Amino acid sequence: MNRPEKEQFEHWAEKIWQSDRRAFDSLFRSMYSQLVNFAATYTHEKSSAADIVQDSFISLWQNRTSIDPGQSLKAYLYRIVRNRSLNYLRNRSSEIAQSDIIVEERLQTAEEVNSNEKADELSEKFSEWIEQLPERQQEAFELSRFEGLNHEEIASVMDVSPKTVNNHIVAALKQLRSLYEEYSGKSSHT
Amino acid sequence: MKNQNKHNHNEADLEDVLSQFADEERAGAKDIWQKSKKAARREDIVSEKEVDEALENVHFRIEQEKRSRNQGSSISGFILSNARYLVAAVALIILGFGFLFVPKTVTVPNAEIAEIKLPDGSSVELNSGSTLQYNRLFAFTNRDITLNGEAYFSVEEGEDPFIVEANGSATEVTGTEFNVRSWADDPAVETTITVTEGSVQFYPVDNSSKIVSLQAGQTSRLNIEMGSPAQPTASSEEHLAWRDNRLVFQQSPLIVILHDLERSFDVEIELDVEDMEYETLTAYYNQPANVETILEDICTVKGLRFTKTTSGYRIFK
Repeated sequence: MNRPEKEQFEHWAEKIWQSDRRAFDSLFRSMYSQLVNFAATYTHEKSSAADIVQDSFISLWQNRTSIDPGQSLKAYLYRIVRNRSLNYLRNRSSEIAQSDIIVEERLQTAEEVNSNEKADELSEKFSEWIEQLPERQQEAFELSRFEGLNHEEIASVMDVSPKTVNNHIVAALKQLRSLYEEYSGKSSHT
Repeated sequence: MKNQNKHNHNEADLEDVLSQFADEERAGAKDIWQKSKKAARREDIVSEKEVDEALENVHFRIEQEKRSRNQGSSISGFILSNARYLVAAVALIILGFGFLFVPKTVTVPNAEIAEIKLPDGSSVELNSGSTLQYNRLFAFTNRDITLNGEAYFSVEEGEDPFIVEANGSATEVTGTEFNVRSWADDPAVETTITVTEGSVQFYPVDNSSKIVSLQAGQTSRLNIEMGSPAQPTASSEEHLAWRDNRLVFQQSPLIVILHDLERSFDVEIELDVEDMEYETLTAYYNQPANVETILEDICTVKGLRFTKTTSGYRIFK
């Protein structure tokens, strides 16, 4: 995966602050798919994730002049997408029946199974274990490991201190390690 | 991209994490860190075409909001934009006298409340989404105002009567303070007048014989279908709640409440339930921070549900 680097984000942030539409488009093109997948880790389906990411970009553009230039644009984007995803989940839980959403989730799960058939057992295990982590640990770990954010950025996305992010990730690693040892112990005995 | 990992800014963070493990555990932890990268993750493939369409959609919506903002940006808070003066100046040169008959329009964007000074020194507080119009000879030959929405007027004494026309109703005063609520998009197209100081004359625009006189502390309403204003009754301060950013609904039809919420929070709310528009509801909110808590309350009381849409909310059963 070809991910834009820090300098690129700084460049975009400056250009967008000056209302440069091309910089905005370029940021959108490089981040859209990644952010849709990130939002989908909360919403568990793609269409609402896509809506959330589009809304977030619109909000970024509308607030472009009030964005703190010292702040990481990447963290800023992840932060709005995360907040909007959590809002979306809160609204959705206020609905009593969720039949349509459940159907979508089921479809996705079937897809998931198909695409994962080829993936080896260990990588499946890891994703299972990560899913089992306490919510905040899981978020911090995924933002670090899969979204490539540094601790300071994760801290601003999750609205906690970098120290807390560090603690979450240490705790996550510890738990993953013990699950892994238990698993490899079992499989070597059989 | 090969070298990127060497300069990866996450490396220092990883060191921090690993430093919290005991020496004999550190290698194991690092191993797990590396292995976990392979975790099977559900990746939705987003095609080029989808990205293009999404970007197009985002452009469209940004333009759309810019347009609607420009329409409403004639006043934002207290500040008139310079562009408006420029346009006005150019128009004055080109149109000369004709210009005097082009009315001046002030529209307050949704989710904002504005206070403006009129040329005669009177002041007006305008609720979200309201539109006020007056001609260029205002304060010279007349003091006629047209309103769609809700406004609180503090009128200076003057030679000409100060007349507010709102959806078929007229309110005439000399010097006083009063509130007018008159939304063209509310189902009854009613105008409600509440007087806080002095007195006003209230009548249908095209039938001034049906006149009602209101004193301070009184309220009256005119539904244009009914022909004449209701006899004045004691007003409650709830009619003025909007000026303190409060929302008050007293036996209000759902459709009226939703219109108020749309304007106060600048969202679109779609009522996707039949025969519920005129269900009434009573609710009070002091300084409501977000529309969602209010929607939750409404839905709980009425046995409805709501969901977020791209431009706002949809209420359904």
